[in-house]
Amino acid sequence: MARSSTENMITLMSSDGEEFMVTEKVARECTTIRNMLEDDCVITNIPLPNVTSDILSMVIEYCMEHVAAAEKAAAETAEKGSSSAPAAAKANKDLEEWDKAFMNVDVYTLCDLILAANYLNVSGLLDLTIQTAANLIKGKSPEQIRKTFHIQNDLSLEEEEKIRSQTPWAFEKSE
Amino acid sequence: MRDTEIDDLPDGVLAHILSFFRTKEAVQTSVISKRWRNLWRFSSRIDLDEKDFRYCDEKFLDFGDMVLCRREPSYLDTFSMDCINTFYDEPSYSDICRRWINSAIKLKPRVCRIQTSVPDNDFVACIFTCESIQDMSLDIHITKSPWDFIIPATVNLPHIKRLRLKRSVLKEGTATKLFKGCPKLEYLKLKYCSGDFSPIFRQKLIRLSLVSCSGDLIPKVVDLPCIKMLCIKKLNVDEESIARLLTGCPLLENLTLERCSGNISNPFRSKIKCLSIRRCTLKTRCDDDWTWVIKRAFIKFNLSGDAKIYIACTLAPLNMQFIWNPPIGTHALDFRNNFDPSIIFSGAECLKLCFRSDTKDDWMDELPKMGAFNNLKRLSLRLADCCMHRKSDPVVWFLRKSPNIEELTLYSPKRKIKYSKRGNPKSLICQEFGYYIYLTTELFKFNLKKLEIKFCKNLFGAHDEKEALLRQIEYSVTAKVVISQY
Repeated sequence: MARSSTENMITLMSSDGEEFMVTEKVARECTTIRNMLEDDCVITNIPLPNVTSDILSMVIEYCMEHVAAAEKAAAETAEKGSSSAPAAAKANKDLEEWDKAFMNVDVYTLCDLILAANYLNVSGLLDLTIQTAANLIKGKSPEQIRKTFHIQNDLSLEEEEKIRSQTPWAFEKSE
Repeated sequence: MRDTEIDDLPDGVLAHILSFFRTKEAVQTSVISKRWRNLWRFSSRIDLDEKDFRYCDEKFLDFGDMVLCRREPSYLDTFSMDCINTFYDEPSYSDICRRWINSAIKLKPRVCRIQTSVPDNDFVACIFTCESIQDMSLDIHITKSPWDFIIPATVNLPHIKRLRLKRSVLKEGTATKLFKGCPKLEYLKLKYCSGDFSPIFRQKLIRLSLVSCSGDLIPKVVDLPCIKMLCIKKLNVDEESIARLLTGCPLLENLTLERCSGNISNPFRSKIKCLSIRRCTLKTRCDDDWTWVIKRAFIKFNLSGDAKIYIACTLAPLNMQFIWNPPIGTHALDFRNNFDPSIIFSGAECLKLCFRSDTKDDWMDELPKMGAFNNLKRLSLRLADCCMHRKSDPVVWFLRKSPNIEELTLYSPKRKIKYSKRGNPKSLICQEFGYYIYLTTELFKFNLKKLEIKFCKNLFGAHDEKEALLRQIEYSVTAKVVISQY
């Protein structure tokens, strides 16, 4: 890439040994990596033993999209002197749409992404994935939640009954 | 390699997920599995809502004690308590109320919403010195004399940005103290409040809402240099106070006046981006004057392309609504009584009109007498059942009066149509489809480029009916036809 001459490139290595070259700016979206860079500025190769290559590539895709959107907004502001509200609103909406499409994944991938976002501390991605998981739970019965997330019910009937009797109001149907 | 399951996530992350739910919903997850049994206890949100506990007050109190007083030490973000009746009906519970509030404040919440009944103002004084709060709503009923919820003398909320108060009394000097104690306040909403409001109008607020407040509302001096949004509901305003208000708010972008009485011609002279006037009673009663006000709005408004005006006024005997979206000009009209939209909207390129089901019968009969819409290119009509069995069909009428129309959008009525006389209740939606098929026999006469029929979601009929309708319409009309739901 042409712009690599002006920007520092950093290599991220996934748990299965695949290497990803990204600009420092993109890497800095991950607070964990930013902290590493600030502690030791000559670092160029970062092993990420907790993240697999397919998930890491998704995290990088997310960071690149958001860095690009932020750069575009900044460029427009600089060009026109002030940001125009409708354009900014549209850009925001586009990014939201992109996020929504990006979250069109199965629950395993979603959980992987949550773990990766949590480990790499990408606040935007963590919020997005957690909100997505919350939306999957919302309005579902415990049985449906188990089914959605493939959770084994290891409570015995007596145990479940006991929990329900402790907070019976929570299981009453609201009007 | 094994797939990652939700149970592989750390407790903190799962608790974070549960923080999106009300406490009742979070507690329901306790029976999912052993892992989930106690997770909800770490949620950073607590809602104590008496409505969730309808039939078991004792259980409610136990639960409140458990989540607040015996809480696992973890971060509390949002505390919400909605217990007006619990503590109102049982004064002996007031100690519990005090305990809950004190415990919650000790947990240093960021957001605090309290709706409750307490015997006196001392119970809630501690809330006003909780430094962690950034966002607060209070609706406090005082159940003993003096009955009023009074803002305490000591206020120290250094981080608060949003404050909503209901039924509180701002005694002289209180408002000044309140603002001193809330240096970062950006948004203030007062509902059913009374007292001395004048200091409020000299602050660096960004948004201000005053709803159903009593007292001398708009003071002589208005200096709100930062305000962008202002909302005033159910108040008496006059030409002069509105003029003062608008002069004192140089950055105002968004003004809402709702159910206000007085003269509202003044806002039309200001350079506001979004003006919303709903259900205001105007002093002028004469139709001509009203037309003048609206026309003036058209001419005088110096609006940018994305500006919007929402107006829904009550001007006996006239009642109308329109949404105007210049420069295209989108209007939504609520037709009632004898009002001729063509007087005002004759120049519009785009009209959005809604018929209400209570539209007076005789108005529909008046339709043929009205003028033309020569510039109209895009028309959107929300139909009511009254449109569908009438001799003078409004859709056809509008088409006849709009020679340059290109796009027509029809919204079906929201409710099922009641056919009182010719009743074949077998399939109501079918009859409605029948209406649209009847329409197509008329529509081919007009030079439409696009026709869209939108059915209400709950009435969106069986698939084959839709297909049948589409085929029928496409057969008779050259326009591009779209059938969708809304």
